[in-house]
Amino acid sequence: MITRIRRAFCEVFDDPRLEINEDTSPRELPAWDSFAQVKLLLALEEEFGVQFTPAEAAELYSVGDFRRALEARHVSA
Amino acid sequence: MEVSRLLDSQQKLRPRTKNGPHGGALAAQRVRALEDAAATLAGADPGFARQLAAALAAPEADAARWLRAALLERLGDPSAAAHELAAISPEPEADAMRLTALCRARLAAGASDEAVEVLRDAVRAAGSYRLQAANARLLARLEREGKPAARRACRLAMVGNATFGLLAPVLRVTAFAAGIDLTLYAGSYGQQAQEILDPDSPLRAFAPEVVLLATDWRSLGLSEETSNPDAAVAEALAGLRALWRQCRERWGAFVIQHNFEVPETTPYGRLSAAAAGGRARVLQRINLALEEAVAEEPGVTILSLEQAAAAWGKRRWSRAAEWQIARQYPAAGALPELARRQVALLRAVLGLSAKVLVLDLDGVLWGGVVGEDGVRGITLGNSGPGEAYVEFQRYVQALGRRGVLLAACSKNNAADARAPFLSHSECVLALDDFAAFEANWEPKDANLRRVAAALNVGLDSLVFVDDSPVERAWVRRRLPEVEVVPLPSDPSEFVAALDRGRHFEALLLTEEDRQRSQSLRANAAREAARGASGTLEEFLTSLKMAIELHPFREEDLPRIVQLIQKTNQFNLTVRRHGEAEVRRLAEASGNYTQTLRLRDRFGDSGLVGVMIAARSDGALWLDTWLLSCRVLGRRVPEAAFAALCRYAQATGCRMLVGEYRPTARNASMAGLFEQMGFTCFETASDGVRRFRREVPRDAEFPACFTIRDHTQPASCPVGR
Repeated sequence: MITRIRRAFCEVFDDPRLEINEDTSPRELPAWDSFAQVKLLLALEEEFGVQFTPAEAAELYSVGDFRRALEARHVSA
Repeated sequence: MEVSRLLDSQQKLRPRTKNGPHGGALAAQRVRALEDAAATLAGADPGFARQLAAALAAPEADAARWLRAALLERLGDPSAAAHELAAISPEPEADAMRLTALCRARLAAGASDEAVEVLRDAVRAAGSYRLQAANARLLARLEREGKPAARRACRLAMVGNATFGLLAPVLRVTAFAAGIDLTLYAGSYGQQAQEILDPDSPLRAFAPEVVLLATDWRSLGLSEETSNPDAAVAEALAGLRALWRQCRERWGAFVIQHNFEVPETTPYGRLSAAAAGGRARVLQRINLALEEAVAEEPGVTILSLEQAAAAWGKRRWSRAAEWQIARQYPAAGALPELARRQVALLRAVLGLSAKVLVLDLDGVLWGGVVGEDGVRGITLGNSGPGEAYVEFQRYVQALGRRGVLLAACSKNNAADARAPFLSHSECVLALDDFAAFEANWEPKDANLRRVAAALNVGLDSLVFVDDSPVERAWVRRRLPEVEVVPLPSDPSEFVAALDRGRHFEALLLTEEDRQRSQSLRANAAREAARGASGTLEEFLTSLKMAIELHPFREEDLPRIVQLIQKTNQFNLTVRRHGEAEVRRLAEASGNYTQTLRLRDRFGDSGLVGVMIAARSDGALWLDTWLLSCRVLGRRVPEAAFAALCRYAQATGCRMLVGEYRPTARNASMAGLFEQMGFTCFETASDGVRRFRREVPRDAEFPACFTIRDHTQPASCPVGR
């Protein structure tokens, strides 16, 4: 799953060599602003075929958050 | 093991040809290499190997090519990856992704020109925001290596009460695919009034040519029910009009105004539209009032967001999560569609809309092959499967009636191709709906060139519809300027497929547009008459041409501005003045303005000529001189010029100065001034050449015209 999440991050931040881990958050990635957040939501939704709710969208602000939200939807790797 | 089983099954399925398109039989050595790779993979990561085996299931060859391309790209061999991707047979759903991947690989391999070519197709094919954003990133990378050629550059400012961070790159790449190089100014959320009205705002330094006013229904602050709806409509309109006026007066900018989506959810239900002050009703009234207002303000046009949202589906058009986090409206998913509509309108504003629809016949206007099935055997009619073709013909005919030129281009015997139009009772289109008709066995690119030449338009004004993917691919390759419609196989989807491209977007419908098809038929009759008369002079006289010249008049301004915006061929200076500038030039003291209308015994061509000459130091400078290509070859330029000379003479002007600014399309005008007795006195570094001549005494109108000249000072006699 982390490979597919990473693909979305690489795309959104336009950096094919971007490395991420569970704790990657806007603090380490200054480019992670509200636009990037919308782009990440879209990319991950398309990648995994899910929909995030507005409440989630406002709270998912680290790679680990995204992974847990996806797992809660029983998305398999 | 999965992978080897898969290979086994492929071995059985595939015929053992030696030089087949996919390499044919596998040699034992290659099988062993694959077996080894599979063993390594399955040993190292069985879960992953299972995934790979699943991904390689049907259609086998293309899946293997994708895999190979992806491996090669990651191993640093993009040109080999591009080779693989280019060889994959396009499947409609996956093709957008393939084109984007192909563009990326070509770019990485250093083949920028090929990358540009495929990027245009990728942008047209992309449906999702994610893919279009990827295309936008590719464009940004391409531009770092040098700007791709564009038909037109344009400075566009977007302002309004949404954020534009996501729209901007998508809009740029969509414009790029339409041949427009956009420089963008993205306004801040909700700052449209300040940015436009404040004389010190950064928008002023940007000096936009086009302002996109993306206001949405929230910005109007309407409650579910308004107590004084008339005042609400008037207030909304007045607010926007003030902004338009600033944009036009301050920068001479053209304004594209979004109208207002009527939100789908309302506690009032149907009462929202039924009650006098219901929000849906007030919004619809405002939308109507906007259209009425721009009918009187030629520098402004409306993009119907209401229509766009409805077509997209209002439940998907906006999304609470995106609005709350980033003030994103509409939803990012809808941005590629919105950008397409914006660019279609922008093309119209810049005079780049297509003008001619070129249609294949068999399989497009009817089912079957008329040359084999006969007129009775083709599928066409008001019931059953023939209905789809009737519907398509109706759509096409209506396009023709609003001014789009129609042309036929069919591989057929000429008589066979014409037969259904002459003798099939359910055929909607008639032969004289077509401005050009090419039915022969030559390649289609040759026929398309002929159509463009016969109608005096550039290849980039053509839109081509053909049911054969082979012909479409051929035309795309040979004539990349021509827009090729991706036609689905089901004829009942033809109308939607053609409509979706919005190729023929126009800002206003003038009487000339309605008459154009009429006028073209008359042109064909004129050509026939040319054959009948002897000398050119006799022919011209036989046309009984009448010219009416006027200074610029208020009622002609929309047509004048339209001609200035879109005339390419007989246009010596190609200065695309907006309406405000035209007005200024017309009102300046001592300037000469002229409109030219032409009638003959076959019909009225309407207002087809515009001239502006500015007075300076006792000379008249030809700022703008253009004629519609419909009237070329008929001595019309001489008549227009004679009127200018007479005016110059009567007002004590001694010198005429002309200028030729070369473009890709007006090369045939390069020698015009010399023909008119001018001499060149200056050639600028950008190729602009300036000419002058003394004002001739007693300039005469060519004898083949009856002239009514209202452009002369009151005391002078008027024409013949």
